[in-house]
Amino acid sequence: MARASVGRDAKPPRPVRIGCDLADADAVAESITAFGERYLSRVYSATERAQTGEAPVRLAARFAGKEAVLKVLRNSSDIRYDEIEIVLDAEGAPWVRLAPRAQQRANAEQLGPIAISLSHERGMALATAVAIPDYQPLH
Amino acid sequence: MSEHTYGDRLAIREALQQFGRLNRPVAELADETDLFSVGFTSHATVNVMLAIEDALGIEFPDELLNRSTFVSIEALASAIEISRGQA
Repeated sequence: MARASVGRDAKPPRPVRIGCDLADADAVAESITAFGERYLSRVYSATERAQTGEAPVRLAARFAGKEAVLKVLRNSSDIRYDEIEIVLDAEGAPWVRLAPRAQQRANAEQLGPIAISLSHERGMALATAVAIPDYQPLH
Repeated sequence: MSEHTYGDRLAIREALQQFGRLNRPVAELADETDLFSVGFTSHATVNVMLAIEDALGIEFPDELLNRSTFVSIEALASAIEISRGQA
């Protein structure tokens, strides 16, 4: 069987980008108690606050999600938390919505859409984010 | 050490003691200690930032809201000076 030929100039595919983070709901509750609106408005968007009902464990999942996305973006030390939104679609599944500056960073890294998954149990929230580099949409 | 600098470092240490959730007493930490090596988390940096802002009447500019600002007491003190300069 003949081997399929590979172009000499073909670049090896870049690895999939993945990031994960863990956040403590008690820490979020402490933040709300200590700093209230200043904490909430600094970290979460209006949509995130509405969709979570500002429940600490659900906010913790969003916080973990933002950190996970920052790890996927890399070189993202100047991206603010409120520039990364973890929002729910019509079916209740989370997805990542980036503000223009954060989207520019994703574009500069040539990343496709960032997928995200959230979970929480016993007061701890976990998030995992994944993006495919050199993404080419089918149509 | 000027009075301003002393007050800043005191505010930083108090914020870390109250909100840092570190695994060592803040009094045992040198100004250059890597805070992330003693249990500092990304979420705790938010609380410490807000506490310092409250204590000193400043606001950290966006470009300083990154990991390097929170890596040590010394780094936080420098960030405070920069924040004052941009007020």
